[in-house]
Amino acid sequence: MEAKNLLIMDSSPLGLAGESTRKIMYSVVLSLLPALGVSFWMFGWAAVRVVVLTSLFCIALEALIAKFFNSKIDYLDGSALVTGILLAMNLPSNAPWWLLLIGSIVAIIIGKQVFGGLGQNIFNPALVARVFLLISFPLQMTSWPVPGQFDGTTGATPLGILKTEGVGAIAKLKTADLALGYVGGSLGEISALALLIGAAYLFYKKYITWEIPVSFIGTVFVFTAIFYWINPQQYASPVFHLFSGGLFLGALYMATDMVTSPISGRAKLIFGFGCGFFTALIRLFGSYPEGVSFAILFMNAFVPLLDRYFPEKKFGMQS
Amino acid sequence: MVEILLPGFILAGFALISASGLYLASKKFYVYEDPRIDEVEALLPGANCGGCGYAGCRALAEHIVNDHTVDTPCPVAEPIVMEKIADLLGLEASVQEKQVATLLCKGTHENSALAMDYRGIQDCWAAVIVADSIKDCAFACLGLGSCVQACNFDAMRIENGIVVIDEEKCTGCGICISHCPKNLLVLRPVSQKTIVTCSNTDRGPEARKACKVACIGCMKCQKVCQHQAIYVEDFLARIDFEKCTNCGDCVEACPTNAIEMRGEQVYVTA
Amino acid sequence: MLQLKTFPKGGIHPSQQKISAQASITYGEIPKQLLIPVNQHIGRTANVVVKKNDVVKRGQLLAQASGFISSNVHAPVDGKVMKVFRFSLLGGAIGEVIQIQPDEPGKSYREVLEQDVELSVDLNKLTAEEIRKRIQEAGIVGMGGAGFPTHVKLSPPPEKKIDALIINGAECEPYITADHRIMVEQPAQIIQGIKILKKLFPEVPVYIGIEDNKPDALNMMDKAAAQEEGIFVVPLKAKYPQGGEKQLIKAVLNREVPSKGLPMDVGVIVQNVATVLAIRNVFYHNRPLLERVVTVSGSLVEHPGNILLPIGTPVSYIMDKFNIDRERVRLLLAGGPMMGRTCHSFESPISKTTSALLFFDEKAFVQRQENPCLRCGNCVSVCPMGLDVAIYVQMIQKNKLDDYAKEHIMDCIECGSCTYVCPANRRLVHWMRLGKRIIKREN
Repeated sequence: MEAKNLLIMDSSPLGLAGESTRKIMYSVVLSLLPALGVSFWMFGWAAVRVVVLTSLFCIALEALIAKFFNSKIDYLDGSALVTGILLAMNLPSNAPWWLLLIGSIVAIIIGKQVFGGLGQNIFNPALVARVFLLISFPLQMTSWPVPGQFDGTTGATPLGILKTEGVGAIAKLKTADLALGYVGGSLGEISALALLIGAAYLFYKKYITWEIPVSFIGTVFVFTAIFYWINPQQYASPVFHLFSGGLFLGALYMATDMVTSPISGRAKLIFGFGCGFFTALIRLFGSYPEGVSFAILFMNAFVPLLDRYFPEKKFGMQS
Repeated sequence: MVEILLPGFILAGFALISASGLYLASKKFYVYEDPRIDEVEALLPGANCGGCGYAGCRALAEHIVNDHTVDTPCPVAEPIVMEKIADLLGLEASVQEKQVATLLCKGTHENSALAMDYRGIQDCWAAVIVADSIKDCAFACLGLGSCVQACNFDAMRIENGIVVIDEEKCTGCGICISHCPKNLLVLRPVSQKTIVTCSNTDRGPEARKACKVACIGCMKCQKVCQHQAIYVEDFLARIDFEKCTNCGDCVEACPTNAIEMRGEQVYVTA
Repeated sequence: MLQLKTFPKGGIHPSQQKISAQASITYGEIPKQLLIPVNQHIGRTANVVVKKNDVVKRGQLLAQASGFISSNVHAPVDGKVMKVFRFSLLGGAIGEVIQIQPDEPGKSYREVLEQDVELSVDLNKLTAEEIRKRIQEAGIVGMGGAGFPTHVKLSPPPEKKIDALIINGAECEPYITADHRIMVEQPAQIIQGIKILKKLFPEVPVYIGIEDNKPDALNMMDKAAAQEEGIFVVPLKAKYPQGGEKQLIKAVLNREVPSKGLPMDVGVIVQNVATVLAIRNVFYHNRPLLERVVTVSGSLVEHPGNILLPIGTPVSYIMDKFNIDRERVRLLLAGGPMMGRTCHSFESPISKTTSALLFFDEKAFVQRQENPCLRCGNCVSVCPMGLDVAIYVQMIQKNKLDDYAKEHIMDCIECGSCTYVCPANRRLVHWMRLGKRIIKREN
């Protein structure tokens, strides 16, 4: 008998590739740094305040839930931090602290823990919070500080201007400004370039795949291009639509969120198409200037269905 | 004034029409259900455990009333309940003695040591995928609690590496029986106090090595029993509940303490 | 440079650890005791036909197959039957073993083999019926690990037309090099075995699939096959689990075995190289399956190697031979780290299907603290069968299996690729196995 030295018995396999939930989450945080950098540069310490406070609130809330309800929750696994940062990137830099707190509560508790915690939520928590705040506190959520001006001046975003004043008013905006971020908006939506750099890192690590960003952005482009072609006086150019608003943030970070997006490639394409379609619809014909958040939340509801009816092709099944 | 009265009358009218519609529907689509089904259901415990074999208490009540029989007793309820139900229908109730689940194993960590450090899913069915047994005895209770999970009445718990059943709380529903991958659980009448707490069918020397209180098939119990109630088959003693009188002769005779008189002090093996 | 073939869907590239690849096959000695397992195959357990104190000779029948899907068991050495009893086997099972006291413990097993007469075989005189019968009598089973009785595999029903034979030399599991060494050292003999198989399926081409991480094996087998008609060596790009039948057939012939089907449904029969060698020995030495090459490796083995041992050799003999520190062993694997089974006793004997014994200390073991599923889809993207692993496992855990899941879970080949890449450290294969049990119990 081996006495104390009992041999370990477990099911195969015994090996591990070395991936972990923490690694993935903190890689996403890393990939968001360029965009955060731009927002700090453009909006100054106010932006830092928003990001730090929201992140702290989110992590603290999850830690509280872990303490009182389910000690198995790893509140430091990075998922609360990612939610916090993404939520912050959807907010204006002059958001008051109570707005950040309410948003964090909605994101973590209603958007995530109530469903059963990590991996169980249907809707993207940051977007749930953002939409909640938008509808409950429209005033605070639609006054956007102008980048570079730290005296509290606020203005409308390019999409806001487009909706209220029409195509002529946005004509003078340069595409380069839109892409780099010299426009009004939330912390995360301003610089498409910074977001792309971060997303490239996630592509390299294979944490996101091409299907959702390409189909999402592509659909918006095609849809807006069609209407621009029909009536350029009434509708803005597709390039404008591409670089304005939260499209890049939404397509690269929110729609691709692992938990709330489909698993198979085919399902992802349909998901991205749906997001793009509804974003374009709301932007062109809806009364809200921006449709990305609503579109993604709407498509989130279809994800279990998409997974069920558009799964990976099985080995040995002919159709 | 009209602005208040008119909507008021319109709404009242709608309410009247809806109410009439519902009333007509309840009359036209009425399904006759024997009112006794409700009465029988009210008498049943309402645990919906499925121990009777029917899909819940309502289903059993329907069977009892519609088929006019008390052939299927509710194992969870007190015997008096079945008598009351029988009375309701004008039938004779056959009184069944309360049964309780019994684990035919005493392979605690002291008696049958662990043979391995099992690190897989902590569930009995998952464990038997990895190994036939995790203890020295090939037949021993795994102590990972698949049966405990299945119990609707909180009557089971794991203690010292085996399952312990609270015979007060156990209702004898029998659901746990099929949840043991080693087939160690049986139902026994609660008055049967003499139990062979072993399921090892290996030969004597092997059984001895496997567990301190294993049955080695020595047949001393069979020889000493004056009621022909205990016999050894496949190196394992088995008791015939009909014949056993709980006299305790076999318990004394067993050299390895493999037979227990439930409710009495258990002797630690020397 | 031609693109090497491989299977397209899923698969992983674990660290190969072929540290014993250059170690030539060595020969053990007859141990002091042999414990011959009675059940070393898939199918009905054989019936023991010897009893205590019987004297047996090398090659004598110890247990008779019961039925067609069963296998005979023979004595590897001359000796005496001591006992027949239930014992812990490799992989956690408990089953009957026949304890043999050898007449000459300590004798080099190479000498034992040399005493077997080498016969000349005239292929023209062999009939297909005779070949199948002798393979059945010899107790040949799939030596790649599954242990399916070979004579059954080689007797497909007449409506299944076989138009290709594949010899499995992939050996895709990390650490294992037994098949590799056989191909390097006995290529001519393997070809002889293949030619015997070809008598069963005349005019059918034979493809030997070998992964490109074994260039010397490719070289030797290529040379040996070059002189024969209808035998082709197919180099494959190394990927796990290429050695799995279905994946191998897809890689070599680009045919997909249908869901819940068998290779014969696409006209193919697959045989492991070691099995082919054993078949060869049935005719060239009149020898049933009595021994096999076992890779001994792992972090606790200073000089990993490949050793030829009689069936029934206890693990403790190997530990002494390779100087493995008993106190430090915490993990003993029969097979590779991906699909091998953990073992709990050093006295367990090797069987016909033991391709490797791996010894590891505590540090090598990954304790899986299961975290919640992220729905990252890693498992789905590496699954060679294209299963929605994450979704099925969540259903199994919550005991909410639906018909869709039940249909596909049975196709899982339990290769372990999914668990290997899961960032939440979930025991996906263990859950899938549990799911399969639940489904089987329901039927």
